[in-house]
Amino acid sequence: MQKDLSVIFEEQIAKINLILTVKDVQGGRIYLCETLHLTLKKLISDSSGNLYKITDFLLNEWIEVIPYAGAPVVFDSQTVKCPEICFFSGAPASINNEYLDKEADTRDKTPLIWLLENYEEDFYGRESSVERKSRFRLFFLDETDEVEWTSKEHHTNVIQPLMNLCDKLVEVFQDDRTFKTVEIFTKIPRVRFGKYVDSHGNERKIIDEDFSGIELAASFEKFKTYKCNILNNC
Amino acid sequence: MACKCNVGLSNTGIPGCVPIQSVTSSLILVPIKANDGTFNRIDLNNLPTWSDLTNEADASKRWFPLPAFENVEQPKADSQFEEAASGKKAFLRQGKRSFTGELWEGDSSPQFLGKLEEARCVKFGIFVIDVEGNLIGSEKGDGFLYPIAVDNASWDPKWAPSTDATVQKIMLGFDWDRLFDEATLSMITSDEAGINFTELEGLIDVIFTNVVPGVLETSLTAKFCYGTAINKLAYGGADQTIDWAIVNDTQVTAFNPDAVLESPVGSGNYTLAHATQIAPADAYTINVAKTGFSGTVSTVAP
Repeated sequence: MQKDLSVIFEEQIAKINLILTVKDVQGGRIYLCETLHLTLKKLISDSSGNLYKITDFLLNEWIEVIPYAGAPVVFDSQTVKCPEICFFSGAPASINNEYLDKEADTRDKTPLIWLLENYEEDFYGRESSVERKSRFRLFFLDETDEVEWTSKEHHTNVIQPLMNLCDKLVEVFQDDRTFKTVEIFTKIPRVRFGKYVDSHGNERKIIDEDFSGIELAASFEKFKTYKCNILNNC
Repeated sequence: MACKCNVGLSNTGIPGCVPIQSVTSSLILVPIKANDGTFNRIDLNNLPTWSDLTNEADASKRWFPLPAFENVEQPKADSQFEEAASGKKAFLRQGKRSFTGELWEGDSSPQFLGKLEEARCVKFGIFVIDVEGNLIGSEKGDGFLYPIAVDNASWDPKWAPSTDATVQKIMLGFDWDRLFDEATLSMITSDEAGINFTELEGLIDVIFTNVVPGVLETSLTAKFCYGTAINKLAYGGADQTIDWAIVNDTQVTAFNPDAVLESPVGSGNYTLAHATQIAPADAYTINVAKTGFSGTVSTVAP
């Protein structure tokens, strides 16, 4: 049975490994091989579930943390667990309501990945080993300080970490051999995402948050799967 | 296939739900026979623990999974007939099936090319892995699934450097054994096996340098053959005593070290402590015992 594209993305996003290996800890600074989407003010957890808040970071080098909600002062863990990724699928007209309905705290629903509807898919017949070709636009978004931050800070604090996340998702697709290797994809930085002027001349936002992020415009091809439940003969 | 006497046409009904293989993703190389003369095959009534096969200590029984291929093609040459002047044909033989595929980026190092080239000297077969993680081999009706025999002399891995438009790659080509009967192809699905076969990984060779033997402890540096000419990638993180096995060849005893220290962490520089098991002038061998890796070095205590 063919899956809805949003289900495919939900499954692939769930495969992103959010556990990072710690190389070294010096004071409040945790050295990592990669920092994925970690950025300022995000909460990470150690292997025991203790929470720490990020106060500073250098992309794919280190993060600096302070204990949060009674966590031990010294971070003592071989791993860092990154915040969960929130996935939304919907049209621009509906995404804001769905986002606002989800949870009260911005930090609990970011970073988010939004699959813009309407996407297009071609499905193939009996002769092809390919099930579908899907063309889509994904938005990787995270919170910003729109008033205080310069454009460079938007890039450093949000766009670069989300670039990591975007690359990681592409990697997940490439590791899943039921998808053909994605060869060309377009990334577009979206500083101060989603502002537009409505027909009354008022400035509005697609989502009522101060977001920046990356747009990924790409297509993938998925091979057919021929599994049947052989024990039940169906 | 030769014609059978006294047999008519075969029945041609097909039930529903016949599983078919999907697009070829990778291969597992398996020696046709082990050194003890037994065939390497899968007992279909008693499936093995799959990871044991890739970590098998006896290399003649080991499975050697290759990375994922790109642009796989498996064409078959035309069948050969002898044709008389009258137009009558006599079937001689089927054409050979060939395999071509490409290994890209990190899977295309010249060091890996060297490992692939060595396969030409071994009589081996392949299990095909499709993109769904199913394993395809040859079922001859005796309760076993055999690897598909390869014409090992045709084994031809070629390295191609990056160009303006293409990535570095290894292009692998070979022929299936010319006598292989494709009607025997059969699969074990990932559901039946309880494993996605695309996830099986081959052992990584560990190379030892700077070995300083001793009665109480041995220090050594453990690296892979991969990396740069100056900095080979380190075999780091093997800091548990069970990650190492030591055999005292003189006293014919085997043991794990009492303690392991890697300093600095991740460097591949190890000190293995063995307080009582090695006497002066004993010959001993250190083996990597960590799952997924293979390496050994022999030395003599001072």
